[in-house]
Amino acid sequence: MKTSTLALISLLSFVLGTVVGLIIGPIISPQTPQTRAFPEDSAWRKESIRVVGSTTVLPIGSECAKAFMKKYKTVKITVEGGGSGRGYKELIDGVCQIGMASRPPKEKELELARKKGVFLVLHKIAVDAIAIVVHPSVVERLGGEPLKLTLEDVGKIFAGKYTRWSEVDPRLPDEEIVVFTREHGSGTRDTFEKFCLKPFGLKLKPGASEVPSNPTMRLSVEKTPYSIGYLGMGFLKGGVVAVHLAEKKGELYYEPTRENAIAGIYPIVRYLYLVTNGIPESGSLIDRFIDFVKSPEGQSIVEKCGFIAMYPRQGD
Amino acid sequence: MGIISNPPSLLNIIDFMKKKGAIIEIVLAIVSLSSVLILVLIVVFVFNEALPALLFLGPRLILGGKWAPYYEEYGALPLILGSLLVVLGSALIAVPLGVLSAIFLTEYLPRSLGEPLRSIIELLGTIPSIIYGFLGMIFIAPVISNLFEVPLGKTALTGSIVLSIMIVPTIVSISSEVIASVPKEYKMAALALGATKWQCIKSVILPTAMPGIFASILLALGRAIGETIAVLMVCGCVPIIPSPPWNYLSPVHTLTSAIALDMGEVAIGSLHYHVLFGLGVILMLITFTVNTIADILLKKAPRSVIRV
Repeated sequence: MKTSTLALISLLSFVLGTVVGLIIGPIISPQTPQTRAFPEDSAWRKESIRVVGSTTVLPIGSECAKAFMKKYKTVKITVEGGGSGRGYKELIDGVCQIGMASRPPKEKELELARKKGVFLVLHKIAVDAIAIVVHPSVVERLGGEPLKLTLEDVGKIFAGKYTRWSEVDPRLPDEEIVVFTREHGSGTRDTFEKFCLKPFGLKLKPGASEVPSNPTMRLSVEKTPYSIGYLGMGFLKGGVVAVHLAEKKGELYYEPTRENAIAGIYPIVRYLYLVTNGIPESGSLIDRFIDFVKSPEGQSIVEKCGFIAMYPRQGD
Repeated sequence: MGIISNPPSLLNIIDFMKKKGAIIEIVLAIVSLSSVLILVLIVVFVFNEALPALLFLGPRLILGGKWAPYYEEYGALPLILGSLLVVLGSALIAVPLGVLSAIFLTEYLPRSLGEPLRSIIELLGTIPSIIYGFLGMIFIAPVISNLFEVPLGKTALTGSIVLSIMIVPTIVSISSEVIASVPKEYKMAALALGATKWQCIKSVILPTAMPGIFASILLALGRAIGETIAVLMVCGCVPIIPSPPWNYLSPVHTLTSAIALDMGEVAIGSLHYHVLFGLGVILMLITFTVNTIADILLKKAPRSVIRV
C-alpha cells in the first residue's frame, strides 16, 4: 500500500508539474506580452521587458529598473547579468528586449545579427575609466609620491618584459611582479588590451593570474604584495593604490578620478551601453526605460554606482 | 450467500491490485527512464557543441601546451594537468584525514560522543563552496605565500588544501557508517582470539569495510574534480604547466575554472565557445574513467576476509 501511495504521489506531482508548467510557461516566458489598447498613450504601462548582459552595467540596470518600477507600478522590468556576450546573444535571439554591454559587438556577433535581421543600436549611458592598481607594498619607498607609469610601461609589465619592480624604476622594491588579469571576453580586459597592449604589439604573459570579476580583482591585488591589476573606476576603493598614467613619455601623468576622466585627460576610458534591436518605437516601454536611464534621475543612479554620467544629473 | 458472492469480489480486488501494480510499474519505468534519457541528452548535447572544436583543433586541443583564449590559442594540457594536480593533492590530504577520523569516531569514541562529533563534521559539508573559496583566498593563500616564499599564494597546494577540507566530510560520514556496520561478531571473534584493538581494526574491520571506504573516497573525488568556484578563487588561474609539472607551489588553472571563467562573456558560436564544451567533454571523460575504474576495483575488492 505504502509503495503504491508513493507512486501515486509521484505520478500526481509529475502530471501536476507538467500542467502547471504548460500554463505558467507562456506567462513567464520572455516573449513580449499582448498589450491592451488604452484610450490615452498608456499601453506601455502594461508592458514588461527583460534586460540582460554585462555584469559591469548590471548595477546601473538593476538600480534604474527598481527606481522606474517604483514610479510606474504596473510595468515589469527584469534585469539579469551574465556578461556582454550573453546580452548580445539574447538580444539577437529576441529573448530579451534590451542588452547591457561594456564593449561594442564583436565581428562574430555582428555577423549573427545580420543573419537574423537584427539591427543593433547602441545607446551610450555612462563613461567608465579603467584604473591600474598596485598593492601598497610597491609604492612603500616612494615616500608618498604616486607611482607614475606610461601606457607602454604598463603594457611591458603585463607582457612580462619587466619581471621585477626594480627594472621599472630603481626606487621600487627588488621583488617579482605578480600580474592579475581578467578573463577572456571581459569588457574590462578588452579595453585594457586596446589601450595598453595592442598599440605596442605586446601580448599578455601566460603567467598572469586570471580573476573573474572587478571585486575579486580588487581583493586579489589588496591581498597580494607586489602585485598589479586593473579595474573599473567604480570599484576603486581603499586597500589598493591607483597608478597615475600618461599616454606617452614626457606627457603629464593623471590620476584616475572622475574629473580627469570627464576632462578626457585620463588615458583609459570606455563607454557603457544599453543595446536594442533597431531604434525603439517611440512611447514604448523600451524607449521610456532608456530615456529614464539617460534622464537626470537615471544619471544620478549611474554616478551612485561609481560610474561617470554622460548627461546632466539631478541638481546639475 | 455471502460466502458465495465473496470470492469473486475478492478476486476482483486482487485483479484490480494487479492492474494497479502494472500502472505503478509503468510510471516508475517512465520516471527512471527519463533520468537515463536526460543523461543521454546531456552527453549528446555537450558532445555536439564540442564537435566543431574537436574537428578543427583535433589532438591539439588536448596536447597543446598553451591556453590563451584571448589570443586564440586553445591547448588544454595545462588545464588537464592543473585539474589532476589539485584533485590528487586533495586526495593525499583528505583520505588519511577522513579515514582515520572515521575509525576514531566509530571505534575509539563512545557512541554518545562520536555521534555528535560526526554530525559536526558533516555540517562542514553543507557550507557553500564559495565560502571555502573565500576563506582560502583571504586566510590560506597569504600563509602559503609567507611560508614557502612564493610571490603568489594562490597555488595548486592552496587549492588542494581547500578542496580537502571540502571533501573530508563526505569521506568521514560514509566511511564511519560503513565501519559501524561491520558485524559485531567479527570484532568479537578477533578480540576473543587475543588480537589487540588496533590489530582488530587493521586486519578485520578495515578490510571488511574497504569497499565502502573506497566508495566514499571516490564519491569525494567526484566532488573534487567537479568543484569550480572554490578552485577558481584559490588556484590562481594561471594557465601554465608548472615546472617541474608536480610543483605544488605553482599557480594552476583547472578545466572547471576555465569553463566558469570564460563562459559568461564568450561569443556564442565562436571557436572559443566550442572549445569550452570540448573542455566539458574532457572533464566528463575523466569522471567516467574514474567511475569505471572504481566499479572494477569495487568488484575485485574482497567483500569480507573472514568466512562466516
